[in-house]
Amino acid sequence: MAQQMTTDDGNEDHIQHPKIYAKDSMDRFGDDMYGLILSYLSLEDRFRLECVSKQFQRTVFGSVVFIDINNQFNNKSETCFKAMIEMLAKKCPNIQTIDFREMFIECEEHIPEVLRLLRDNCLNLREVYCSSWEYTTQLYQQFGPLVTRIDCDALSDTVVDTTSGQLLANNLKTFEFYCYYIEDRQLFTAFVAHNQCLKSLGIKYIYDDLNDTLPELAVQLSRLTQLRRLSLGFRIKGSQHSFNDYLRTIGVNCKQLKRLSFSLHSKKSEYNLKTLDSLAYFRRLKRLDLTLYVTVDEISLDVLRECRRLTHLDIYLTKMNANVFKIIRENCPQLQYLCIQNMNSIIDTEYLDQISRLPALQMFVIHCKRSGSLRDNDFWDLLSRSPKLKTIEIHVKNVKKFYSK
Amino acid sequence: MADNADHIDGDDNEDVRAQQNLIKIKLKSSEGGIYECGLTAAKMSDLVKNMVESLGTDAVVTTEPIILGNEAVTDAALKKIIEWVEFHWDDPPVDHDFEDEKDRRNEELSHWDKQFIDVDDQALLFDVIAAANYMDIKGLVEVGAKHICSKIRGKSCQEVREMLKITNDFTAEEEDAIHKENAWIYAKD
Repeated sequence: MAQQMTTDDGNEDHIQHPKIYAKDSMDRFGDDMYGLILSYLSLEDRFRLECVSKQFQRTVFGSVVFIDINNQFNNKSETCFKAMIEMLAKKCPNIQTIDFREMFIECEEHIPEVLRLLRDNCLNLREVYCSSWEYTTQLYQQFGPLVTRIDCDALSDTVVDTTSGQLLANNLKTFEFYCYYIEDRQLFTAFVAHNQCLKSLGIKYIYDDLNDTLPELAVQLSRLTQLRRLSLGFRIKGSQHSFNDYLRTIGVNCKQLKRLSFSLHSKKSEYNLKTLDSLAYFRRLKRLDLTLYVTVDEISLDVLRECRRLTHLDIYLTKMNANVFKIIRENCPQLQYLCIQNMNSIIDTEYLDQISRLPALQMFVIHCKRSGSLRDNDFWDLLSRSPKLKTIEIHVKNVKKFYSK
Repeated sequence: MADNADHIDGDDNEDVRAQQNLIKIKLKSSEGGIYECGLTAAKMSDLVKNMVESLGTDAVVTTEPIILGNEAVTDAALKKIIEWVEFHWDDPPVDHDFEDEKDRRNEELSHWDKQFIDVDDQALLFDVIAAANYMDIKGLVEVGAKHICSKIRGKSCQEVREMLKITNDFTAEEEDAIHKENAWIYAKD
């Protein structure tokens, strides 16, 4: 049994006589290693398992740097919420980020009090994420510099204090909002002026007559030159629009953009070709999510010829054809991740053949309604033929299947 | 023009990495076993990478084995580690434009990693983790740590002690006090 024993693996030089531990016991690890292993536990597990041993207690909280209030503590009463925050502040001194965005329990009024407690105890607290609620104004006034991310429904919820008209959101890093209307024009101008260091912006739905909204929106977006990620969703009804010039303005000015999500819902067919053309101006793009919910017979993705840096591509098309795969294969040599959603058309071996010739592809995901004639063997064959592919994931009607090297 | 230059560098690096992995170096466990491993794969270990780079020429590298003296690097552990780096050496490099490392923390292990790390022999599992830590292979330490955490998720303290063979050094009173302090976790109203 001698080889089944080991000394402490931690480099704790101060221990003069290293204890002997069984090799299959966690006790063999020093505090650093022990803490590193436990750093993947959920917050609830950390508290629940605190009394496993003294070493466990000593090491289990140090790695807590991010708290998501929603995930861990839904269904808790108000008293519980406060007790929990007091415990967090006491036991987790290294918290850097707190996410209140998805908090459903009715304790919002306590957030300022709670934040004060955490700020005083957790000296590394730098970022607070929140959504818009009644107490937002109060929160801004007291903790303005800590708030780095806001998710809200409409610009008017967050950008100004409705009673004083004072501008609230300053120096955010991330901002997500649901709807943009033409009436938001002035608010958005003010927002842009005060959030010049914004790194990530998402606007879920841009409505209205885009002939009116788009020109001004594009000008404002192009002033956010630090943007790394941009996500825009368009709902188009009615008349003819030209996206091309406006998207080009954004692409030319926001030179740091690395990730773009672009979705277009329309019943007319003539938009998509022009729209896609302007993607060529987003020169540094590495990750692209493209949703084209349009009724059109043939979608041209020729523009991908200009996006040779892409490493991740996620496409949702109403119709797909072999030509799309061919364009991807010919133009995206650095693609590591490819996800194709809503494959209405039947995939066949010809499509897979194109995929197998992507030299850097590691992960291939398809969501489709019918699996068609393809069998397990076709996917195993794809896996063995393509140079770097490691995993294929197929979702057919909520059933997930894996193929892995 | 700069864009194009970046491109060519990227492709070159990939080729160089693939070429270099054809060069086999020798790694020696603390038990004396000597095992071959592709150079690029072996360099996923920062420890090996630094040793290779300080040695200089490839000729030296391929003849003399690199000695991994830590006692966690048993023959069995080293074989597992080589299997892991040989699978992962061509993973895409960390892209500093994105917070991939941060995102990866929250991701489930890949199918392959799950099967790889699910070993019945707990002494070997701990050896692999300790050896990966000594060899400074962060990705593999993460795989091991996530595996252990997923095994103890939702378990009771006693179950965790039994599973991981942890000695309880709390008195009954101390344990009670901690339980009381954390009572809010169990309250559901």
